[in-house]
Amino acid sequence: MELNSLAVLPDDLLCHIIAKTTLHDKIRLQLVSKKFRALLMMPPSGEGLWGQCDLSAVFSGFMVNGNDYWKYPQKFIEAGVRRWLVRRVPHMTRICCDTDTDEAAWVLCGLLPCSAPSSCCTARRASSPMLPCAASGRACQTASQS
Amino acid sequence: MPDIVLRSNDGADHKISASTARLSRTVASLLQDLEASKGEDAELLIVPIPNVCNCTLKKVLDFCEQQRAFDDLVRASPAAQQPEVTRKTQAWRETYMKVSTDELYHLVMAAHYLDVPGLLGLCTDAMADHIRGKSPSQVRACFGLKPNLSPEEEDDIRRSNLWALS
Repeated sequence: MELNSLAVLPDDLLCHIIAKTTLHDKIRLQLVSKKFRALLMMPPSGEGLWGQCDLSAVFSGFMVNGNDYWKYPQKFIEAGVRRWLVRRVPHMTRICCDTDTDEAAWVLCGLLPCSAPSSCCTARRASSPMLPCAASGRACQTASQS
Repeated sequence: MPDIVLRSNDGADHKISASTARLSRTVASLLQDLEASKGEDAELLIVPIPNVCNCTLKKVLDFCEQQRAFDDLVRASPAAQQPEVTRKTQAWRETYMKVSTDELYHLVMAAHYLDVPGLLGLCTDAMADHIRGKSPSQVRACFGLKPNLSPEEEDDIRRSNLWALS
């Protein structure tokens, strides 16, 4: 390309592209420039620049299957991901986790339907206070607990 | 139904079917306006596409034609044959997206302007491939951007995301 020309992509188109990168990419992209940082600090709430993006793509980095962040120690990731999400998505209050596989299927309740298997959250029900997931009706762990 | 011609910004005409034209939401909207102003008896509707050159418009229309053909095929195929249709669609798209980065840039801009969701999805996937796994400096080089974050801002980002950036 003259990939230089990409510098002039409209913001909403840039959001479409950023949305499709992984969680790690999104975090690294904050270091690229003020513009990227500003885009990534906006809560992707279904309105504004991110409004045209497929929300499941926006959150693909958190969501499942083959994302490299699962290579990191689970506890560390849980804290990091939750902190990252809660700061950027102020209206997000709960996250589901498929504890049977101890990975995958983080779900932003109320934004996305829970894609976890039917056993979603059940393993933690005994040890953690649970709230019903706004999207699926199943129990979820509150984000603030981590 | 009148003939529909899309005219690129360098004056090349492309005659297409109405069903293909309407895969672009922008064209669909322009057609509505034209039909309203020219009446239902118009024999030819010429839609100027001022932001897209002939070469890119042809490529976009290739996608739309193929998309329409696949949609028809899906509707006509029994359920058992759907996976095969899907496989063929994916194979065609992979070949279609073997373009230079310069072509990709023009294609994504055209897909965005013409609002062709399927093509926009394909193009943004390809663009995201340019970003995945790259360091901030590699992305900057790729996008022709200069670093403009202050050292304090950079530190703040790094401190907040130690788990991912270390």
